[in-house]
Amino acid sequence: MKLLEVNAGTICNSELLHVLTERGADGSGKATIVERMAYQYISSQPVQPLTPKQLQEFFDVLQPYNLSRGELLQLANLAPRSPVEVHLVVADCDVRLGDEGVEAILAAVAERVAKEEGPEEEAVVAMS
Amino acid sequence: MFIITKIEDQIRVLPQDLTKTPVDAVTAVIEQRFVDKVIPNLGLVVTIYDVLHIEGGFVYPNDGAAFFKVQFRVVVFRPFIGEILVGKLKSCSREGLRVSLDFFEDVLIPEHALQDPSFYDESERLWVWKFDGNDMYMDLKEIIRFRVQSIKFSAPPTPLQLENATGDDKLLGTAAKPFSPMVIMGDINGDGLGLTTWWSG
Repeated sequence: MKLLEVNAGTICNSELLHVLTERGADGSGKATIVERMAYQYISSQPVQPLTPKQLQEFFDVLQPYNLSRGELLQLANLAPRSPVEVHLVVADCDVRLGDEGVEAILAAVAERVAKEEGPEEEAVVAMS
Repeated sequence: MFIITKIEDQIRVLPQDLTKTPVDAVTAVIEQRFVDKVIPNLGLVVTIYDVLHIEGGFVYPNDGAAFFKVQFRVVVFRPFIGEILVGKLKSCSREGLRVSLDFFEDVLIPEHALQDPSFYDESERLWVWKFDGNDMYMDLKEIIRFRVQSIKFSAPPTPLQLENATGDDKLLGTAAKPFSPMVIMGDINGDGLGLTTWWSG
């Protein structure tokens, strides 16, 4: 066995979800247990699965903030909902982004990547 | 947390599978050989991404099987150092926490990497973070956010090593002390890390 290219690129959870669905990990076909578990793990995150086009749009929106590839990947995988989570992902957050940068990232994430929490939240919204 | 790796390997297709198309036969063998296995110093292979190139199909003397030289790509679970991941707390012990990402169960948070100050509650058998006078219990099945500190790969023990092992190591490989080829050490000492419920709202 030869490892021709050890790292031919990173793949974010949404893309992997797409690959796993094609392999039948969502129950529609025969997939190995690790594929089904990986599918279950990614689907259980409060993150909306994005198509490649939506993913590229998300990265384009964040382009002016000069985030590294690793940081963009983590934002797409984790969908932070609070400033402290953004501080965890982005190094030197105060210097590079400042408060408005963090707000802009949270807004972009909320608009595109975050998945709604659950039935209780919808009930609260309907009442107010 | 996932990367794509390009591999080239000699794939042996059994004679009874030669009625399938080469891609299907080769994919089935790759699935058996690579998926759900840890490649040393690389990571856990989660799934096949695609098959790039198949050539060969030679049948050698004394063996009815066909050998294909295949280039293919697999998705490998390999978080980078410093990456933030989210998992479920599986178990607590004196040594620390054990977090599970459904497809990968060997994430350890050693006791020195917990939020400061944390104590092990013997009666509940749980770790507690004493913050501002409040006791924040780390209950099982809670969602934990942690940072990857390091990844450790170990080779499976050889029979000679098992024979010369002393004490606890003699049980390595059994249910009492399961062998983990890949272990991720994490830490939750920092703002935003630990139980997600501590930092939400």
